[in-house]
Order: sequence, then structure tokens, then C-alpha cells
Amino acid sequence: MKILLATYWLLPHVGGVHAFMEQIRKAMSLRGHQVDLFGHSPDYKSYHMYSDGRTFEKAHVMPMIESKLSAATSAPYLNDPVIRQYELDRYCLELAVAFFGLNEYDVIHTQDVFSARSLARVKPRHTPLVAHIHGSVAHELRAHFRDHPELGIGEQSPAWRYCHAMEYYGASSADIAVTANQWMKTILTGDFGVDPSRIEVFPYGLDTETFRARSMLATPINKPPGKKVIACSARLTFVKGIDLLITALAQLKNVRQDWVCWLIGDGELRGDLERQARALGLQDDIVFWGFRQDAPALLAMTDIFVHACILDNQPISVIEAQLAGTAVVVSDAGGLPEMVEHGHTGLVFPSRDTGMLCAYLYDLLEHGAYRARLAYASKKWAEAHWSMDAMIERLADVYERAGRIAQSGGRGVP
Amino acid sequence: MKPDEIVVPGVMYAGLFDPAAAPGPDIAVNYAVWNRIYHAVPDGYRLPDLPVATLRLPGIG
Repeated sequence: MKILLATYWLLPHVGGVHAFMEQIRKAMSLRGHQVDLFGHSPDYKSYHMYSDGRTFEKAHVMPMIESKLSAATSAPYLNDPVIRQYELDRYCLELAVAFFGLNEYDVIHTQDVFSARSLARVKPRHTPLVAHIHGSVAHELRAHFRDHPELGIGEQSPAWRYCHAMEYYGASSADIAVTANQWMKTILTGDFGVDPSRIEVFPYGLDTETFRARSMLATPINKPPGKKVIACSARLTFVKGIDLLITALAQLKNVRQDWVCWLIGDGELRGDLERQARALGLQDDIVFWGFRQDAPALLAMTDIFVHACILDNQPISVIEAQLAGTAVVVSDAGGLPEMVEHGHTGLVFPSRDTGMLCAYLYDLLEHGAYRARLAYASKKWAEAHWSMDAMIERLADVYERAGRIAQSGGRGVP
Repeated sequence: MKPDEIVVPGVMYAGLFDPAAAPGPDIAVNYAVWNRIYHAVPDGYRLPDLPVATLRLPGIG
């Protein structure tokens, strides 16, 4: 079978989507399938087949698209700057995949609503389309709009409604959509009106053998003597709530100093977060490691893992922390409560409640036996729950069923 | 205009762009690229993606 894994987002990328695609490529390749990866180039100037290096410059088509859509049109919302940016970029994606050709693929598996909608429009009718929905783009964009009132984008704005339209049409365009948890399915059906019968739910898997091997690789970083390590591995973006973690750490420092915090990851907010840490006098207590290939080895030295996000689906970083045998503290945002049972496999605090996060960190630093008990239970649960083999089995089954749906005419693109 | 750039025949544009929603002028483009795209897209494919671009939301309006 020849499989195309496609995303609107960047390839390569430090985020979980690229890691997920690579895991599928590896697992499916071991089963004898051929897998291509498609996505945005890192400079956003082109789309590329990341797996074989073929590139399609947007400059080939963007000037014509801009020209044709510049005048008076029956789709006036395309003049809204936010909608225009995303839609024109998506049209380039459609023309890029058409240029590369889709006839050779037995199944197309997209990783976001933008690529799902686009691939549904340009693929051969008989080719099955499976769409993994890893998160709510609409909720993330709306959170960004709320956080930046200077943009002037409110609930009545076209851009706000565009988020709704993109989420609905993206998730409704595939033969089968897949979410990793019930939370994400409920968002798609409840908030955006997607037909629940189109959506399958099964959790992500992790290649535990590879993860364990990477955990044991040498790293130049050593755990500071006499300190417990509190770690967070995430992109440094708004939704990850790193600023909330830093605020909680400032409160924690007032009562104990037997810890250091490792922030593993990079992103657009790094400068702001470094300034925040300095302003709170935490410059010697928080280390911004940036993106690290040896992140699993760093997790192996971690005592407490924190994910303070305000919105997230089923982050791989939390799965890795659980498998590493680390006590995990997460917010109750998004799908996180489905990953951690409070008081048994970790601790769950109300999203944005930095006081509660600080209190939990204090408790775990103070009570080593409790910390070890949570970490042990978390690891046992994770080893049983996040099976890569189980996920690939279910994915292969979804590919097969999507193939039957497509062969019988498909579900239609709304 | 570069040697490999020619104005693509109007029939090709009509096959890729909705004339009412994309009425802007044709410009010089790389014919080989657009010809390949034109023959690769499925029947009925048009730009823009009108349901999304017109924010047509089922059940919401």
C-alpha cells in the first residue's frame, strides 16, 4: 500500500504532529507499506514532499491566485486579511499536491483540518481520505484573537466565523475522521456540528522501545546536585501556558528552593518568557534548553513533569513523561484529564490556577514517597495504554474501512 | 516575460477558477506548471473553495 501523510503545517517541525507522522511512517514501513510525507517547507515559501525532497514553490501559483481573487468577487470574505492569508495558502496547497500527483496513493491521511479539506477537494474520488484531528484550530485561533484585542477580531467578525467553517468542513470532508480522545470528538460534534458517525476515537501510541533507547543515550546535561528537576517539554507558544508555569514557580521559590526547572522546547514566546523569568528573579532557577534531540534522556533525570497548557489535545510530551516514570502534573484543559487520573496516576489542577499548581509542586517536592507512588502508577498505566502496535492496528483498520467507503462512492465533500 | 512564461489559455483558467468568485485578470504564468495542475485536478474542481470562502455554515447560516 502507498500512503500519503499530509499536513498544512511545517515539515520538519518540533511539534507533535511531525513526530506522529514519523512514527506512522516507521510503523507502516515495517509492515511493507510505502509512506510519503507532505507539508509546508520551514520557510513557508513552498510545499514539499518531505520524504523525497520534491518541492513546489508557491511563487508558481500564488501571483495568479492573488490576481484572480483580487477583484470584486462573490466571495467577499476573501478580502478579510486573516481569511485571505489562510485560504490563499490552502489553495496553493491544493495546486501543489495536484502538481505532485495523487493517483499513485492507496490512502491519504491528513493531520489537520486545512489539509483535510484541501486534499478532499483534489484527490481522486476513489482514493480514501482519513483525517486525524489533533486539536481545535478554531479554538486555538480564537484564543489568540481574544489574547490580542488589538487585532479587532470579535465573535461577529468574519475571521471568527471562518474558524468555525474551517473546523466543520475540514473534519467533515474525510471518509473517516479520527480523534485521540472523547474531548476532541465532543468539540467537533458539539461546537462545530460535525456528524458524530464520521468520527473514530482511539488514543495515540508511542514507540516505547525507541523512546527507552533514546532515554539511555548520553547527554552533556547533568542534574544539578541537591536539586529536584521540574521539567516541561513543549513548544513555547501561548496555548502551552508556560507563562503560567513560570508564575507558579515564582510562588514556589518563596517557600522552597530545592528545585530547578528545565524548559525543553522552543517557540515564538521564548524571548517573552525569558524576560518574564528574569523579571521574577528566576533566571538561575529556570533553564531554557531550546529544542533538544536528547529530550528523552532529560526526562529520565526529571522528578516532576508539568504541562500547564490552557488548551491541548493529547500531547506526546505527557505520554513520554509518563513512560519515563516521572510524576506528572497537568492542567484540566482539553483532553488532559483523560490522560491523568488525579491522585492515582498524577495530579490535575484547574487550568490557569497558578496557586494550585504551586501547591501541588510543593507537595510533590515535600513528599518523595507520594511522588514515587504517582510516578510508578503513571508508568504502569502508560505502558498499557499508549501502545504503538495497538494504534497502528486500529489505523490500518480505519484505512481499510475508509477504502471501502471511497470505493462505494465516498461520503461526499460538503 | 521569461521564455517559459506565457499567458495560459482562458479555457484553462475557466477550468480552475470560478468565474464569478474569481473574476480578476489573467497574468503570465509558467504554462508547464499550470497545464500539469489543470490535468491533475478532478472534474468540478474550482477555486475558491466556495462553501468555506462564503462561510456557509450548516445549521448556523
